Amino acid sequence: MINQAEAEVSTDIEHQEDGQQFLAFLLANEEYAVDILKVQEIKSWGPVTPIPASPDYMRGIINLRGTVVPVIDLRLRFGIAAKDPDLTTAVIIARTFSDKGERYVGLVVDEVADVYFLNEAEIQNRKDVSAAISGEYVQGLSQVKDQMVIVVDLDLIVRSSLADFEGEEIE
Amino acid sequence: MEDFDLDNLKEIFLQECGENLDTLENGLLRMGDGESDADLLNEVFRAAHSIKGGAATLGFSSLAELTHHMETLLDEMRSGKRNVHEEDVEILLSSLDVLREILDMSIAGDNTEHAQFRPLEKKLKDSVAAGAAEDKASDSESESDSPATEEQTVEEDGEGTLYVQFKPYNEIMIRGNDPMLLVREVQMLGDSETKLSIEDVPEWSELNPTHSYMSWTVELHSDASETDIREIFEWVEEFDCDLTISKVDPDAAPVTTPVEEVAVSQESTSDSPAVASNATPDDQPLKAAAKKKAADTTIRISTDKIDDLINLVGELVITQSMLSRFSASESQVDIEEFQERMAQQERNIRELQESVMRVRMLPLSFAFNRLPRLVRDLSKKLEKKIELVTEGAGTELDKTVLESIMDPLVHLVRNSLDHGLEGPEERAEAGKPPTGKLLLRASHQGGAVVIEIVDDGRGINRERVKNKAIESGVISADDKLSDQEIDNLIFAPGFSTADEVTDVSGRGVGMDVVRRNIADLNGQVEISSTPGKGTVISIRLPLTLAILDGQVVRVANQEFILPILAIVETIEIEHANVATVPDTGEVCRFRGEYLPVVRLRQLLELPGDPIDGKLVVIVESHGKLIGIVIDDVIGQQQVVIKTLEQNYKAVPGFAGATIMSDGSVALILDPPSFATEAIQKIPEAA
Repeated sequence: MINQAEAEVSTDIEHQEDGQQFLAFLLANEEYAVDILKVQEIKSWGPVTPIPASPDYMRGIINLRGTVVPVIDLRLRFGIAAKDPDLTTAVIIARTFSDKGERYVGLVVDEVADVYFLNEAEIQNRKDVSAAISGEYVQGLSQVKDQMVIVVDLDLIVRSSLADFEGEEIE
Repeated sequence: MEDFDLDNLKEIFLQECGENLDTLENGLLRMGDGESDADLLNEVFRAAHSIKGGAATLGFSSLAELTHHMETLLDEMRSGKRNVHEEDVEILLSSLDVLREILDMSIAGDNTEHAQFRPLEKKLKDSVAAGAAEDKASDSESESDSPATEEQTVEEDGEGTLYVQFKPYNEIMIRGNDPMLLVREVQMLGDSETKLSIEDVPEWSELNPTHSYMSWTVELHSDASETDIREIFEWVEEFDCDLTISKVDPDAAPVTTPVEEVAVSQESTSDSPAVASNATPDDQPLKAAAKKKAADTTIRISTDKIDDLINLVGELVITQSMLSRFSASESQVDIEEFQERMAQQERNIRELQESVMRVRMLPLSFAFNRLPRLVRDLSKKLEKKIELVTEGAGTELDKTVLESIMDPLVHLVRNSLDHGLEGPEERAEAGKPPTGKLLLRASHQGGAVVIEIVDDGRGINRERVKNKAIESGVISADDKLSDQEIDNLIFAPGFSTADEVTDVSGRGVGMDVVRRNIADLNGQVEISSTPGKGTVISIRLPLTLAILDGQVVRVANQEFILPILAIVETIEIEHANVATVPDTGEVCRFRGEYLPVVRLRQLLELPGDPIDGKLVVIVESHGKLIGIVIDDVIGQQQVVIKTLEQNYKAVPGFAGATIMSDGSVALILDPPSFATEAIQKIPEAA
């Protein structure tokens, strides 16, 4: 499921021979990838300030150079058992757009793995994934060196995570 | 690029124009009150003149035209040729209103003619003509010969006649100057008559087409000074021409143009074809939007403030260089001196922070100055005599706060005029002087600005307020309320005591909006009244929206900020007499009252035993007190408010977040919404 915003962005990108760049990360030993153009930066894990009355996957808020950024634990968001942060735990700062404009959201992952070039053709549009996570965020599957990579839709994750408890409709 | 510059100029003009209009309005109001000293008249005249000048330069022709007529009228008053009549002031004031509207239309890019433009223009002209007739009867001397006019030409700003003789040298055009352009610029300074001299033009056979042989004499009726004119010729005066400027016609044949004639000729040149149009209601939102935009973008800062900043930054740099010398030095550092420098740097930075915040501060006079007009017009309409007094107009407030307080303030003043103050008869009956007094007082009170609106009117009729409130379902008949609570009922939504709905007030929307607007600014509004004696409405506002004086408190090892403004008292829990009332929740006894108590740990579902807590902070919101149980108080500090909504969403109970000195984020508790949240969770104590 490619949503509107995604589709618009990808038409802007100059497709190289090797395809688009994706940032791969690990969650419970499975490899996931997100469009690298939606990644602002990667931070190491640090203390967060919890937000009262928020879902458990909302880890809290952090200070990103003076602006307050919420942090989503992707393990909890994907329904994977929680894990204590360790040295490799990283926060991917995603840059997405909402009706209010640019929005930065942090995503906690076990480990940042690699950057892959993936062709759109290489990403099989498959929903029936055997991965631990629910299919709705999955954009497709790809194969890198005999290893399966699950391409997830960053925009949708952010939007649904913030909308879930706002009672907002997801487009 | 050119467009950009022009836009920039326009923006500056529009802003200045707004200021000049305010000056004009205030001056006219004072004139209306019978003041007519020269300083005042000059000030008013100058304001009108600046508007005209700017408007003409930037092509706002209708603005320029109307101001021109106002100026003519004002000039006659200023030069003592006519007395200040009430009717004239009235016409000038209504012209001013139209100027404002034209200005708004221009901002919105609407260049159609204002419906009131022609009628007012005519009125102004008639007024001038009537004055002129009056003059002729008493004084037959012609305009430009009168001593008054002579005097003005000496004065920089005065209207007068100048003769500009411009004889370019032959080669002027070769050097890239166009004499015609210069002449036109002179003509644009005011009404003018230009004579061209072609005496020096040679025979055709000898004529060099790249040379200029002509000279001009411009008879200029304007308020431009000699300096203004010389400025136009700045580039050519020294090497390329002969320029003489005099008050006497160099051609020795003085022909003075009567004023009326000039006015007509001026009109015929600048008159645009009349376009029938009215300011349609559709324009309104557009205008408002444009106006808002203009208000948002810029701020005018006094040079003093900027100089302060520059000095401070200088200090900062000096101290910094001293500190770097310490860090670079290889030998043992004198720790005491180092600490001293560090302390100095800290002071510098704090001062710098304060100065930077001051940049956003504007005096309350910006808001107060708009009120005399309102009071004047309204009291006329309501047939009441009211004297408006302002105190502490120099009190400074953040620009955003100031702009947002304008509407509530206007509303409260209208309300006092309509409901509070009585007409002369009623006042006489009550044994009060016939003129009612409305006092606006602003002052600093412990980190906040308090604006009070005090009237000596009839006060609040508590019986009627209570009955109305019961009638409209705001309270129930068996509610027991203190006097103060009854007074504050007027801020309840959907409440109005006016028997008749007037266009002044009485619709019952308003006071609750006022309260909400003020609450949005983190402020509070309260009313207290003495029947028969008057009413005091006090608005308490934070100095700024961006920075907040906060108390850092700790619950379950998490730090929160409580706005100091909301804190009434902090007491140890053992001394707070916390008790549990069945079906109600916890209450504590404070100053003879029972207050609902919330435990922050419990409410926010923080880890630990929910009943843990050592201190009870009594906070006030909307006149109600609640107790909040926390673990510890850490200290006071100024915090910069960061919004949660930008990347996340608003969190109920919190006003935002802030970055602490260690770089971590702390949430700022918002007592009003927090109290509502808390009271919803825990049923309120009876």
